[in-house]
Amino acid sequence: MSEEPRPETNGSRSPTLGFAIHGVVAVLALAVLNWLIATKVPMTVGSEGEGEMGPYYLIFYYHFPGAINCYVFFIAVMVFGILFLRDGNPLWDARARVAGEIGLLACTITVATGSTWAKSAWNVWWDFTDPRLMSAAVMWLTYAGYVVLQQQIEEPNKRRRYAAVFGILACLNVPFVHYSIQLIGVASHPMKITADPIVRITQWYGVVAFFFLYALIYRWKLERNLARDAVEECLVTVRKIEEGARA
Amino acid sequence: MMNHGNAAKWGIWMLAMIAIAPGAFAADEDAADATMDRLMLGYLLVFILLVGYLIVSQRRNARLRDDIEFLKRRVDEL
Repeated sequence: MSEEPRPETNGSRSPTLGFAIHGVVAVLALAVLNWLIATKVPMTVGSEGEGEMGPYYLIFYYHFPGAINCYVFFIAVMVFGILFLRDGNPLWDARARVAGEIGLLACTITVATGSTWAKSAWNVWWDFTDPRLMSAAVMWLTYAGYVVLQQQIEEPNKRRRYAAVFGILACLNVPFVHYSIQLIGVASHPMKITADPIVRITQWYGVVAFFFLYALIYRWKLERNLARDAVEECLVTVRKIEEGARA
Repeated sequence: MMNHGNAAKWGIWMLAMIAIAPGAFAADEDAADATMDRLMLGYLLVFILLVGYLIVSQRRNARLRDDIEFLKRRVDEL
């Protein structure tokens, strides 16, 4: 057996350096967002149909980025699913699996912050007549099902195919949630906040800042999953060798 | 089956985020101002802790993958 030395972790640059830089950029972006929320945006704004909303509207700057980022990751699940079905590369399935989990995390934050806002604005934790709330809840359940599907089927090729198809179909939720109010009719969900340009800038800046954080978590989880898959592959090989030795 | 340890960790992070939701229960504007500063600093601390954990954990992941690649090569030689 050759005495190959154990490799160092990288080539000319550590793969963790890029990750650390990404982390620092994410923290700085979120620090700027928090500074904007604490010092620059107005403490109250008006909205069509609701009048003045009061300081509780500030949760919007975490709620809105959660919603947009969950759309982004759910669309990524669909794209990775299509790419997997096209060429069968299991790496696409690995990416889709993690994108589904991160999208579900963002969706959970959206629903939770939305519910907190609803309690302050309407004095109820949930409005069962609001089409956006209900369609977002259905979207959450759909992707929770996707995450469970990815964990439950033992046979890897079957699991990857089923998950890819499910992920493509599940993405139909995204446009439905986004246009639910226009499609179904009037709702209590605030549609347009009338305010300074700083509100628009901060809400969209928040999307970018939170995207850095979600993308960091995505990279971390993908690395862990790929490591786990590599361990399982090694174990399968070792078992085959042991069976061969016994036979 | 889903890893309950990881689910618990994510649950804790999400609860930390939700528990200090900005300005949701502020009674008046002056109190809201002071509350907002504290809440934004609190959230920033949560983000720093989360990112710090991810960076430390990812270094371990990278070493683990290199060890696994080395192990696979040795197994292939057998």
